[in-house]
Amino acid sequence: MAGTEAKDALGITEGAMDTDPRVGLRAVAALRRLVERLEALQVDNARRHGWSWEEIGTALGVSRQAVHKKHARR
Amino acid sequence: MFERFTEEARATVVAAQEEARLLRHASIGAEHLLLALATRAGTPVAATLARFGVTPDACRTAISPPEALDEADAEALRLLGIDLHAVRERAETAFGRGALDRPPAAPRSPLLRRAGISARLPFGASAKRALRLALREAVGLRSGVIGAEHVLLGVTALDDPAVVGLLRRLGTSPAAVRSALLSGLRPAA
Repeated sequence: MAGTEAKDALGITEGAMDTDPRVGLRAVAALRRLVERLEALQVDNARRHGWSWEEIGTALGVSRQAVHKKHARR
Repeated sequence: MFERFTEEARATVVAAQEEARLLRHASIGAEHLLLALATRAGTPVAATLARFGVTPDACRTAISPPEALDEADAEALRLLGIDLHAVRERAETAFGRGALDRPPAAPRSPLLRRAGISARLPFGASAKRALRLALREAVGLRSGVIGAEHVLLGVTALDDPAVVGLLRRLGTSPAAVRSALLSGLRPAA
């Protein structure tokens, strides 16, 4: 049952990815917002654990300045 | 257009701005107009809304922060094989209730901060459309002025995702609120 559902979901995904741009773009937009929320959560957590902006930037693969500008004073 | 607004309708628009500001939203949306209508205690419109469970507190809780992920997002993410509910659950286990849906912080721009928290918020597209529709509703009902009831009709005529989502979370719909309001406006036959 679960396998069938998974296969159905896969079918929908593949269909969505190469046919309807609205669906695909909507999914990307939702994913981006999810990533933003997760990033905020993790950065806050790292700060609480005493991580420096330098360390957080390195872990995220961005510069210290970029991560500081985006998350400081939140 | 504003010169034809009644005192009550104007007060509603002002209240909408205040509510959007308190919720730290960047602009005034149709959902803030709806919330503002609900806050105008003692008005027939607020009474109608209250009958549907649309009270100020319920509204404020149910208005999703602009970055919050809703059911439509969950559906979109499911197409990518991502289970938003599972992600939310894990985030909440690690970081506490509502971890994924925490409202964003106040504007970070020093300019905005220096302008003070009472900086005027712009009207978003949905609020503008709702107010234009309010005018149309008033004309349709042969009213010479635009009252709070026309603003509510405008808001419920919109089909705006924020309004629809808000009312759905409160257990009702724009159509239900709209028809109740309209039946109250028409003189009993």
